Amino acid sequence: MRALVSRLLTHSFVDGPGNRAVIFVQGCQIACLYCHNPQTQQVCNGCGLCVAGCPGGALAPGAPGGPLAWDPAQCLGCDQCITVCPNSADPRALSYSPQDLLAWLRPLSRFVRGVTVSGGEPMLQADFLAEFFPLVHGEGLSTMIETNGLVEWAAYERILPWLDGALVDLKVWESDRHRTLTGMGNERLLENLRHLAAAGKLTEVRMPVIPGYSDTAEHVRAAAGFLAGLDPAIPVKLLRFRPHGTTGPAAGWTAPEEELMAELVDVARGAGLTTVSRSR
Amino acid sequence: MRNPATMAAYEDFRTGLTADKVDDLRNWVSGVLRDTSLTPDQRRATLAAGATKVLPHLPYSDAAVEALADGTVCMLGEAPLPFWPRYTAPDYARLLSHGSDYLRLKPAGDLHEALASLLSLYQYSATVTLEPVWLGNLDTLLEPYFDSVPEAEARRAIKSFWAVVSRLFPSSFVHANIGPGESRVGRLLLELDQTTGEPINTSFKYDPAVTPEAFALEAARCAMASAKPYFHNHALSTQDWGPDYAIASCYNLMPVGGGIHTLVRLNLGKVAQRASSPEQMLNETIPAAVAWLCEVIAARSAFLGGESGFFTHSFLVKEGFLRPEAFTAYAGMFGLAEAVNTLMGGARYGKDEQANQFAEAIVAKVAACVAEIPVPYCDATGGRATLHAQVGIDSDAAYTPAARIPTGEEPDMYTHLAVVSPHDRWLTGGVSNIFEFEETAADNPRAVLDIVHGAFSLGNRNLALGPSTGGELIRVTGYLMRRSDLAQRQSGEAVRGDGALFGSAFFVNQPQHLHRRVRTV
Ligand code: SF4
Ligand code: SF4
Repeated sequence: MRALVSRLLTHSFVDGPGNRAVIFVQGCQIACLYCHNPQTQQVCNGCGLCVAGCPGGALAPGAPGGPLAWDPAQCLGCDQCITVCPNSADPRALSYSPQDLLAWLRPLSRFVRGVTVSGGEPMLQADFLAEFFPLVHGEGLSTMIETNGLVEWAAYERILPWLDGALVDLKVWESDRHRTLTGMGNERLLENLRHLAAAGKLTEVRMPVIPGYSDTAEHVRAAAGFLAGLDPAIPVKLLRFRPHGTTGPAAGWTAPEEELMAELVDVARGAGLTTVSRSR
Repeated sequence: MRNPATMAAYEDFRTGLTADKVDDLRNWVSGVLRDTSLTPDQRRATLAAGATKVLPHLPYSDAAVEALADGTVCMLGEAPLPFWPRYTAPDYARLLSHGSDYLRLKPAGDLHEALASLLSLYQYSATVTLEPVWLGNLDTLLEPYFDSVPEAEARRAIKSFWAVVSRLFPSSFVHANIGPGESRVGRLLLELDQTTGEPINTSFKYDPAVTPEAFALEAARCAMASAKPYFHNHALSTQDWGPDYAIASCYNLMPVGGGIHTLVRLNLGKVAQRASSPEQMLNETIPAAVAWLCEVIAARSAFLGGESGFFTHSFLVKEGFLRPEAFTAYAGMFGLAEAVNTLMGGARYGKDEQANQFAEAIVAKVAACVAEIPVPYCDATGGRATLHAQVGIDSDAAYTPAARIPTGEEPDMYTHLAVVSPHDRWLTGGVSNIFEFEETAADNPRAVLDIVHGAFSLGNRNLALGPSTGGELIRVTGYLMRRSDLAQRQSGEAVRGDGALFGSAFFVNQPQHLHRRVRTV
């Protein structure tokens, strides 16, 4: 198996407990209106639209119907390609084998306590993870995923023996509004949260506070109440929506006020959660 | 002969003050006592130090004096004839258990008496700054007294003590130690430092095998809030000094009950200018330069240990708070980066493997040469001086402090740690490197510990960790100071903290050594 990876990060303090190496995979099955990295959603189809504008001459046609060939040595990092791509893809994503990523990870191991696979949606590459995670454990490091929770449970089940924890988004409590925001209802997400909590693998639930979707006390009370019912001690973090870096309609939305964030933390605690924090 | 960059016009290594320079001295005195950018105390201290400099220095060889005059060797403004040690680490445990005849103090019976005894002895520390450079392992010293009064009272008393220490001794060279074990006093000091931010240096003696994780996390939180404590590799320094060691002044190691006679330092950048190739530097130039360095250290240690009468007459020695056999002297070094970059023909320290290897060879060679030259009164380290990576002073301008990678040239954090950490085993007298993190680090102190563990596994001795955005406390090279003091000093006003004096001069003279790379996490 190979994974399509958009970015490798040697250290991160914000992708799970401790210092972690992070692998961002390419490809996601939903398209949130407020996505901060839309270029990670799709896999490049080789349409060639971005080739002419590439100032470094780093892009060339690949196999027919497949992604472009990208030459890192020529790339200037200007992001022209992802700006013009109509397909929410990134021609710079690279394919790695589990052994490739292990070789990347090994020299970092004295500084990190584990690896987090983020995205994109890592669970779309569950077969790869089922091969890669045992190798990570072999290095004495922990494994985490950052997932939207919307992939079928069978995929999670496949990697569960080698998964130390999942950081899951709970974006909108009402399924219809969840669909408007992301393109999918949230029934499967709630089901997966239940499974992950029962398996003791729910490391953190992130609740983005998004204007018009999830920024009311009712919303937070309902979602927090559900989570408290699974386990009151689940660490829950309220993430303040920031318009910076979004495209499309969300660029015009405003970030929730500090006071609102503080109030919503209290609401979540009031709903029975014991470990609630919020982003700065 | 004199060093025009660091010495006043009336000073001279060989002759001291001569009749034709009396007017220079008068002008200098007249200027200092009118200097409104200094507090009256600071003027008095400056004048006292200036008075000692009318004397000729000890009779060093011509080659050594030449090296002193051009700054290859530098004694950091110490008196020509040292009459008390540069640093001391009095045995405060002995004070608390035995009291002191000289100070008419009985053994401490409760927390209040313990704090009063400590504050009393601090006044008599006998160091180069006229202030204590070491406050003790405050947690192990005070924890036994914590239950002697009601808890709320104990907390209030320690809080006041911390505030008083900071106001009595604002020099930036005052250093407290805590750890490696957890204690209520240790926790309280970390708590106070996260809120009140007193500019007292603190080192956290950390051994992941001994220190409870919860306590280490508290120290990491504190560092992200107030740029202290230092994370000190307790296992490594215990190996070098035994379990009873002190971290004083900037980050300076010595035995408890001991001290450092003198700190004379080598400008490795200038040493390199005397060599024409890396091989020559290692085989000829360093051995010659270390010989001058150690000649100066040995003569000064001999004077202090003998003729000055300090060890025969000080009550600190007579009453056992200081033991002559626990003393040594520092062979300092700085400007490693410039030494490497001068001789590597384009390869840069921090960036190129070949340059990094040369840097390590230089430190190893200096250490080996220092270890060959006997220095009197240095029983604490086998009759030899001990190597210390010196943080630099404002007049260094073109030379990078200690063994650091120059600001602006730092590689990514892991590479940076891998380059500098292996030096630390040679730098038994102390070393530090500064790493500043984005504010997200404050929410994930475990991640900070992960970095520390990685660094320790590479042999790192001491890490200065702090927030990039900064709170009220800021670390400039080795000096910890309050931001507001710094601003006040920069506007030409007198401030209590000497740290702000050094710090603001740094901002003027070597801003390139201030803006460290922010670690994006
Ligand atoms: S970022 Fe994209 S467009 Fe820019 S040089 Fe690299 S490949 Fe070409
Ligand atoms: S990155 Fe986008 S625009 Fe470029 S070839 Fe791939 S799909 Fe087309």
